[in-house]
Amino acid sequence: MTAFAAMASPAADGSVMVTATGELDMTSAPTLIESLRDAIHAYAPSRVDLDLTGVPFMDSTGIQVLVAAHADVDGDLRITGTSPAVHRLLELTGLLETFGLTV
Amino acid sequence: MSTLRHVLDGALAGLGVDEQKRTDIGLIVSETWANVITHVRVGVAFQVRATVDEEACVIEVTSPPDAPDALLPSQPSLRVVSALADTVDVGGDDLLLRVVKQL
Repeated sequence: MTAFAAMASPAADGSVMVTATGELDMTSAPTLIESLRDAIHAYAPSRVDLDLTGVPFMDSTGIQVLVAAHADVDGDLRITGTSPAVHRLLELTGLLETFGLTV
Repeated sequence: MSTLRHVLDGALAGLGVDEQKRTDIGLIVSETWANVITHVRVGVAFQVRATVDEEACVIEVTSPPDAPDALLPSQPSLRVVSALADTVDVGGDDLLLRVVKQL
């Protein structure tokens, strides 16, 4: 089991890419909250791209973090990649389109 | 809780259960726990038990007799559980929740 981590890096177009790795549940959610909050505060990005390809598991605690961050950046938080399990949860909760993903 | 999820996943894999069902069961465990843990008091011992046989995986959450009702049925976590499980029974004596997923 990999410890959860999230790294933010600004891009030339004013957006920020946040790359998360590890399982995202109640234990690790605070780490993602902190990373997203710090990135939004530090860079005031026009858009946040979140790569969840390296997140093999996520529960609704993670969903709550994503929805809150989505509001913090005025709706421009996009998920650029997911694992099958994360994609399934977003599909179940009807949030694929909200985060710029397709079925 | 992630330990129970991983141990259970290993047991299900050993029984030859496919990855989709194992992912669903991992989510059920995590969501069930997320629902209970958000509002229990310190020192109240809730128990989450998973039983597996060749036909079904049964996840039960039990509480001590004097504990307050620890489930919040309106939370997103239980909606996810309902979407993934075959049957979800709430309440009954010391049993808070019983979730069955056919294998």
